[in-house]
Amino acid sequence: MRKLHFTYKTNLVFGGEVTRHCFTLRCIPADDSIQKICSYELKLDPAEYYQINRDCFGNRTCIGRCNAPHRTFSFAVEGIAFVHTANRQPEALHPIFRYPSEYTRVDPALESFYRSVRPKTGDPLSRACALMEAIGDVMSYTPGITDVSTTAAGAFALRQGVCQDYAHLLIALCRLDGIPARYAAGMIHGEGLTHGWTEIYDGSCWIGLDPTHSKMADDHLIKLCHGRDYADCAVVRGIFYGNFQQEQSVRVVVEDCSEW
Amino acid sequence: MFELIENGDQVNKLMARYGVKFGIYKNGQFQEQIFPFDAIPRILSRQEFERLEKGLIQRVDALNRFLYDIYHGKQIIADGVVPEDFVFSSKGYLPQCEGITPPGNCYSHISGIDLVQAKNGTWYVLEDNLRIPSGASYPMIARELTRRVSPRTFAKYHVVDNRNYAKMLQDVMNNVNTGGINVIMTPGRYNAAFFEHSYLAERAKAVLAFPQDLFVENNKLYYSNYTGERQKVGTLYRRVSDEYIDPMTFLPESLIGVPHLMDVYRAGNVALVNAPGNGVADDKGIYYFVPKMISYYLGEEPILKNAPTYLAFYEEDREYILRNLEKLVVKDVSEAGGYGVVFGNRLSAEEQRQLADEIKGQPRRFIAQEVIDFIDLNIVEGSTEVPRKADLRAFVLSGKETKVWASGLTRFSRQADSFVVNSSQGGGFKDTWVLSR
Repeated sequence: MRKLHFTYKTNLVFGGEVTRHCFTLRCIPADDSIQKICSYELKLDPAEYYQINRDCFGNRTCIGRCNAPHRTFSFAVEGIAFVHTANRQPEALHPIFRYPSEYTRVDPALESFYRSVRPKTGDPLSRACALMEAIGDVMSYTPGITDVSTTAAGAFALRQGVCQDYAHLLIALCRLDGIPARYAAGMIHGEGLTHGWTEIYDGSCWIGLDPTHSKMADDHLIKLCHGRDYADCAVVRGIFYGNFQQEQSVRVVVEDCSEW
Repeated sequence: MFELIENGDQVNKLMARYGVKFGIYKNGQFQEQIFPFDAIPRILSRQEFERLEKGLIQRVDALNRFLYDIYHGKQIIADGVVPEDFVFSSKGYLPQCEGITPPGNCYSHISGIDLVQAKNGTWYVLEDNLRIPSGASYPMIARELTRRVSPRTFAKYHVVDNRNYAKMLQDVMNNVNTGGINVIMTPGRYNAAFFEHSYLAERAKAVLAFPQDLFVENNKLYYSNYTGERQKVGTLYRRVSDEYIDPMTFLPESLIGVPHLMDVYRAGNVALVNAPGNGVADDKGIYYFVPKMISYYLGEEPILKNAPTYLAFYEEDREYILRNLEKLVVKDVSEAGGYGVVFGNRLSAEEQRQLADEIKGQPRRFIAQEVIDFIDLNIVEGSTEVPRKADLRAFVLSGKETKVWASGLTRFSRQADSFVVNSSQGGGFKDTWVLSR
């Protein structure tokens, strides 16, 4: 078990004044069997109202609105999480995680890659780990080549990508292999951006696999949300009136403050 | 009835004057067209309507039970009646609706069931429309205008009054209202069915709203009128498709939705008519299972028949399809509307072989149906009457009880050799009379 202190900050700067801005944020980690959020503080600016809801996957959301003209929008969450992967508990499976989704639909190239690396035997976890290794063998981690709209098949064609692409590829291959899989977005120990990884269902529990680092998810990850793929897991989603460029900066800091 | 038929043109002129139109987009241009009205009604005897009524109520009740089941316990899948594949690969299944129990536990408040009658008199259901089906306003206003043009016709024939549709609709909206006003939301003036939206709102005493008149605050939906005064909305009859109703949940580019509407709905603070996610029950692949649903949920024999349908997914059906390709109509379940519908007898030998290969390769994607030779109804053309193919859209309203509107939209094809009755393809409509004795 680790005790982690986390800060998630996002700052949006618009090229002019925007109005009627509605947002849905998935920036507040929720309790489950492996992580307990013992305290957190949320700051939002500006917002005329906001409130905490849950979405269909059980993720915490913060929804709200700001009608008045504004040029910047920022939010920050800070808190303490206890993460204990070994404590995972059985959960019911929703069948939707067995089926292809927008980002994870395979093309012939990806399908033939799957056929060439398909594990012969093994339980779901060992098969998924084998698939994760196969991805690690052919992909190279390159920021800036892909973007948030890149699909698993698109990243595979380039043989390059970032954590989101690795996670989508593993989801696509697992689902082809009959292993239910979902996308997880969250924070990883250290300093950087939002991290994305994969969770697979082993028949009773959801188990995290981090294909970017080619290892099982450990106690240094804090999950913000999960879903079929990235489309369900955008940390910030918003619409507003105003035709302007926007710049987004994200800063995530996770420090291990375990006293053991 | 002669008087009515002689005055058919006058009804059409009145409809043009009242703005009874539908819009279509052709080559990127919006055009409004008159929906041509034919004065010869489709007449259903009382006995015939009562039989249809029983069958339709049974069917819609089972479909509502199915929708609840799919978004909750999924028992029908666990019991092996409907294969999981057909549910979760359907575009109509929306995980965003998972676990939500709509107010009044009703999913399909207004169902449009499309039927045809075969030459031997048997009625077949061709399609269930559970996602905001349109068309009720046309027979409503046609009846109103024909009564005006030819009152004597209605003194002579004992026709059940169909002008109660608005009251039925109002009851349905009131039944699920969570506290607040009833609103009909139209995407706007240039929607194909704008006439219907405004007419229904006026008749059912609901507020007609555009998406920008509505907003969400603290998980409640509000309507704001031109003075800025806000009123809470208890029922939203939204004439906007699921994928556009909330840009924060579904298509982000939608400009005809209300941001965070799904949050309000999930919190139980508004009734959405019809419930989002209903597409999973009126999917072409799921259609095959509706008679089985009736037995499964209600323990009854289905009263109304499906058109004989084969699922390539099942080996036995697949073999039948491949053997009889030249006499079947094959439908691709992933396509909507009239797309992906192929009549086997119109294919060359080579095309038949290609289709057979596709069916063998992806059996889940295809269903095949026997071609039903459905009856013709006469329409007036110039000074004579000519037979044309026609179907019937029956409207089933689910409130405290499930009721069938004693009327319906009869659509016909204007071309002699065509089976296509869609209004967007230039088809016309008739009033549907139910005789009271």
